[in-house]
Amino acid sequence: MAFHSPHITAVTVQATEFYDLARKFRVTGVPKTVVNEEIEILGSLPEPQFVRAALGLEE
Amino acid sequence: MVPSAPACATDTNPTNPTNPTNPINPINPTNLTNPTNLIGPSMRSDASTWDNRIFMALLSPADQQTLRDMFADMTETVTILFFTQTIGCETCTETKQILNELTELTDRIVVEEVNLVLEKERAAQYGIDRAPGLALLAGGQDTRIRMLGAPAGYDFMSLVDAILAISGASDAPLSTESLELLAQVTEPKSIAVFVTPT
Repeated sequence: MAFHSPHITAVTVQATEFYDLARKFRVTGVPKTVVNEEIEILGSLPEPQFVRAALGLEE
Repeated sequence: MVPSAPACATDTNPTNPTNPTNPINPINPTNLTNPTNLIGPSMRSDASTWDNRIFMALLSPADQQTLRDMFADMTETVTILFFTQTIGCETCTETKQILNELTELTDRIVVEEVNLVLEKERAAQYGIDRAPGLALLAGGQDTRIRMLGAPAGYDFMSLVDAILAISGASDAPLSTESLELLAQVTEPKSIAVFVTPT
């Protein structure tokens, strides 16, 4: 998504190395995606569904 | 063509039982070997202190060749900014080894170490506030792709996939629907994906 949009920054975070971030965002399983510290997606989704969820277009 | 590095560049005894010559084996879907073996640097079991530990190559010769073939299609040079610090970074050494092994496979990958403590402004420029942190640039341009933590395990393949995508060696395939949605994004979005090495 970052590759295709100049407005998106994507970062992977090793939850086992940065417990503080994992705690802050209540990471109980992986992958867990957090967008703008607001939208949370636990687990993987099919690509179109993930993009929509990450952009806040669906629950 | 870069010659294959020995499985253990610092160990001259190939019969040493603690020196496996193929710590990783190729797998699907990436044609790379079991990336879960890339969890940490292989070390001789007789190492009693940190200074005495001798790091062995993480990538087997077969994996090295697979990656060379994959990187052969790169048309852009990828610069990996490696934000590191000497103290308080348990996986910086491991990360450095992984990155060094990548740079040995192609001239199209360049690693630039950035001291997180001494070069705070540069770290802030890329939004990196902890080590190890990676920022990927293609053709000198920021791709807005970051990694926090050692790119080990399956995250290693995430790094390889990102390198291939931003260097022109592979597509970053998204559906037409997704591309249309992304084209409508006008506000900054920071997407963090928490992962584990396995």
